[in-house]
Amino acid sequence: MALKGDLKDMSLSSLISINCNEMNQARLTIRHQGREAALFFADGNIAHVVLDSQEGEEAIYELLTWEEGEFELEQGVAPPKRTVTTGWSRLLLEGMRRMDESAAGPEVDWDEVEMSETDQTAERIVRALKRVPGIDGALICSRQGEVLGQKMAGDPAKEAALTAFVGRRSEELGFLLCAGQWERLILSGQARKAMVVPCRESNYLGLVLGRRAPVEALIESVRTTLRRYE
Amino acid sequence: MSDYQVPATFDEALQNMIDRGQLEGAVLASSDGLPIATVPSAYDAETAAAMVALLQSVSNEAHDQLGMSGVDEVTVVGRDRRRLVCRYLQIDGEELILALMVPANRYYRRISNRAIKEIKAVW
Repeated sequence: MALKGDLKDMSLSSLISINCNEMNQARLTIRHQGREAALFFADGNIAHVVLDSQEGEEAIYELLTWEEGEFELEQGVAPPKRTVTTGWSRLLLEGMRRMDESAAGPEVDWDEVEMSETDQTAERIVRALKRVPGIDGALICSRQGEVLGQKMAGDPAKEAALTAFVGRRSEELGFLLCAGQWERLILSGQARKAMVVPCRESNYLGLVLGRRAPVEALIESVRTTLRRYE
Repeated sequence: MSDYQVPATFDEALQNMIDRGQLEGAVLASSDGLPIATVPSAYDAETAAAMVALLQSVSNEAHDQLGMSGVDEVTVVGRDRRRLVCRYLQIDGEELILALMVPANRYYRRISNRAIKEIKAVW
């Protein structure tokens, strides 16, 4: 029996990751705005892709930009030919890199921009988190590294750039590890720890923690605080 | 009397660790992300190398941007509670990376400390 769904509920990256990790031989058909694509999985990789008259790896990069569309997965269907030779993980990473590049918008003069509702909420969240024992600093930034709210002792712009970089890398790691469902990344150094958590509308929360901070206990406080402002 | 023997190869050291901790897999890699040993051997080496390279880029960025010296561990946690843990070790001036795939609710610190000692013994 075929598995049916929509890319709104399960992304193509997740479908690729699951089918390749489970070594499925299958055909994934996707329909999006009158267009139809088919991906064939075999031997733990993507073997063949066809989108309109296009075949192979470039077609995958376009498919990865589709955020919605009906899909149907049929198990046991062999690929009619092989047009993809690059490993699935490298294809996903390259696809994400291309999306990152195309998403970079024009430069904004942030001094000219009035504080939006999102920024006000971000400020409230970081103020609340800074009061939690064990959290030495908190910051919320966009995927591009703009500071939306911060309570940090150091240079917030620098911390935001790192938080955004780590967040984007965590998304890539999440696709390889757990079909995109990452919850947090923790950096443990000799003097301190840092934690990055996905939060609110594709932004990232960066936290500076003491070396001996109890991460598992703190993550509960973080979840509670984020839920309160959702 | 214990019949414990020091492992003879990196693969054996990693396999011992996986068996003790009931982990999913482990990769020992050079600092540039090149896998030296991967257990289980059927594990997708290309994916493992991609993960190690990504973790290494995170560690390097933390070091360069914040001067966060001595990053000794990077952990990514999934919503299913699985973890990818990356530990850094130095042997004879050579920096190596030990990456572990840890299932939910499993401990890894003590067994990976022991594995690091065994890797140093094999080296």
